[in-house]
Amino acid sequence: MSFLIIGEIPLLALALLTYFLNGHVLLERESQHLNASLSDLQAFMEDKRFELEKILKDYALWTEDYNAVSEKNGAWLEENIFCWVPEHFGIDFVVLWDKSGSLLGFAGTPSLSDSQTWNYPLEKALRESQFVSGFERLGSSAVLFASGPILKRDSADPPAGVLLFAQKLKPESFPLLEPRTPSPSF
Amino acid sequence: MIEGKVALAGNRGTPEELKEIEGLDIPLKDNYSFVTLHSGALLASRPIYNPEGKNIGYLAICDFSGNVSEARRSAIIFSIVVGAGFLLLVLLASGLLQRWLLVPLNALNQDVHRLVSGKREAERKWPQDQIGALAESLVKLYRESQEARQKAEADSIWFRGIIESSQDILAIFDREGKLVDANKAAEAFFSTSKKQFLGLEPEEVLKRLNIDPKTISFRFWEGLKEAYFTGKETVYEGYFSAMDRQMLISFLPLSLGNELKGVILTLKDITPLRRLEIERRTLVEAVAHDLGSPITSLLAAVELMKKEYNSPPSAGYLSGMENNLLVLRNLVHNLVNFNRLEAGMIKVEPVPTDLCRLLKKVYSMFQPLARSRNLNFTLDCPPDLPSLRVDPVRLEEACSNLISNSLKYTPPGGLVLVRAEKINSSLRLTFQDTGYGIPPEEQDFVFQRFRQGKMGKGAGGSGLGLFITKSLVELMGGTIELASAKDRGTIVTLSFPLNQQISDSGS
Repeated sequence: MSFLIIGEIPLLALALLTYFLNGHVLLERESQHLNASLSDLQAFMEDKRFELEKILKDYALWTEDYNAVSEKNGAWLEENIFCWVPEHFGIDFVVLWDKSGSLLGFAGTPSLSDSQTWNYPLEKALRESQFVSGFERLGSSAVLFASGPILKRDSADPPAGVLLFAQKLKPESFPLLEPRTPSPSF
Repeated sequence: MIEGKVALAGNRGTPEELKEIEGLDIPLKDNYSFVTLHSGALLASRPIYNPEGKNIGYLAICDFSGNVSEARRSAIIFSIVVGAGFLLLVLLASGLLQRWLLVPLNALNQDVHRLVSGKREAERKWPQDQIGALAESLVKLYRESQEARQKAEADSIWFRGIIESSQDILAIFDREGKLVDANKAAEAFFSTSKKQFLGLEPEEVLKRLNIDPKTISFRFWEGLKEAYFTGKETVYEGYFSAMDRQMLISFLPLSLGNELKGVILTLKDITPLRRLEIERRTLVEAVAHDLGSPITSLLAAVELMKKEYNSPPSAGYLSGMENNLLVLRNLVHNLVNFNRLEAGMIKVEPVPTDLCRLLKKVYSMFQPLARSRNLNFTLDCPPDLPSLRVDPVRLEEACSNLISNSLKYTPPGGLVLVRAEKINSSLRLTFQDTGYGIPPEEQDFVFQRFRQGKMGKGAGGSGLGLFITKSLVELMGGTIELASAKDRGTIVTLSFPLNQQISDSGS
């Protein structure tokens, strides 16, 4: 009788071995699954960045805008930039600098306009007339931003100033990931 | 590896789940990383860089759905269920085995133990299944093995009894030529115990007995080899100089099927027998010599008296005396010849012999007797017969014996014919008579010593004549054949090859 019970031990060992091997394989597969979800999430965020950059370019490469910034036409800027853009495009933060890098105006959280965080896009726009977009960290928050020089649409004139749009990343920012991404965090 | 605090939680998951990752220290790597949280949730992360290339945080996905945990839990449950199932099956199988196999086997085992220990015969009633059949077979096998063992023991006792009761010296060697047993006669003969010789080869045994193996005759070692290598029995008589004994030595191979198991060496001490034989021969020689002289004298006296008393009835009496004296002389002569033949003392000296001349001489010797018995006695010998290389004295003796027999056992008026002829490369001598013949049942032993047919006993012969004749003929390289029919006569044929080579000292 006892030898039969002893004979059970290898069977149990086999079951445990199967369990651990299966667990390992399952973890591997779950890791691959989450990695793919991360790729989806990154692709989605890239889309959002292109979308924001596209909106920004519409306003930065606009002759009227160029003229308003050059002339420091506050009324025009207030109406067409600082009020219109946050309201119609859901952008949390808009900043405008002149060609010397001095703040012309902003919409949204005031403290964000003084951040040293924007030195890099500001310099890129003023010195190299380049558009910069991506993610930045502002305190405990993360933002998606796009910035670029304010130019006439078909002119090679130096930039009249620099325009920056930023969107704070919120849980609601990731509605499209629901089917695949269980719970993204940032 | 970097440890980061969760800055922003996504929009899925229960509050408890989100609470778990709020402020959680997550081990993060510069590239993709994957960790299992305490709750079993899985977290995958990738670094995020700003346009300047600086790491500003990590993008992470946390899986609270519990796919893996669930799978693990399922695997555990599955393993437990399967294991429990197996255990149940094992227990069930154990129970069945216990009931159907182990219990009967244990009972069988107990019975076998009882049988082997001889406590009692198995009386259990076994079921009519395989176990029962096995039990019956085992009990049967045991009984048969017991019977075989008892038989083997009985055989062993018989064998031991035969060996020990033998007055001959017996030594048994195994297949490797080592001594495995010897009887008491051997121990007595060599005045030692066999124990110190067991496992030794014959040569070693002899050395332990302080006998130089070189003093043992060549035939001994040849006989031993013959037994071992050809499986043939060898018997010979030899002189055992170390013990001053005459021995009859035999090597008997013991084989089982074609496999040699060993060899039994038998030494029979025939020294007293041989001494007795020598004494007997000496006595016979002496008696024959002592009888021969008076018989010769008596024959001479009768011969003289026959000349003086040649009228009846004295002449008849004298003839009777002469015949009886001749018979007596012949008897003594045969005894001497037999004695010498047995001792190997008769030698043949072959020389080219004119056979016809020899036969005529014998014929003329017996012609008076044939005439007196009113027999038609004829000799047929062609003159161109080639000479034969034989001992003429011994051949004359053999022919005399045969003619004498023919004349003796042929009634008056009968025919006795002696013929010599060359047939192919041999010479044939035929002694034919029309006498009483020899019955078939007597023909087989007429050439044996001291054996006589009914007629011979009536005639007062010694029973040695034909034995001596046959021995002499064979000593000269010839053969003898007999054909006879009751009341129709007898034909004895001697054949000698013409080109035979017989050594001058052959005996």
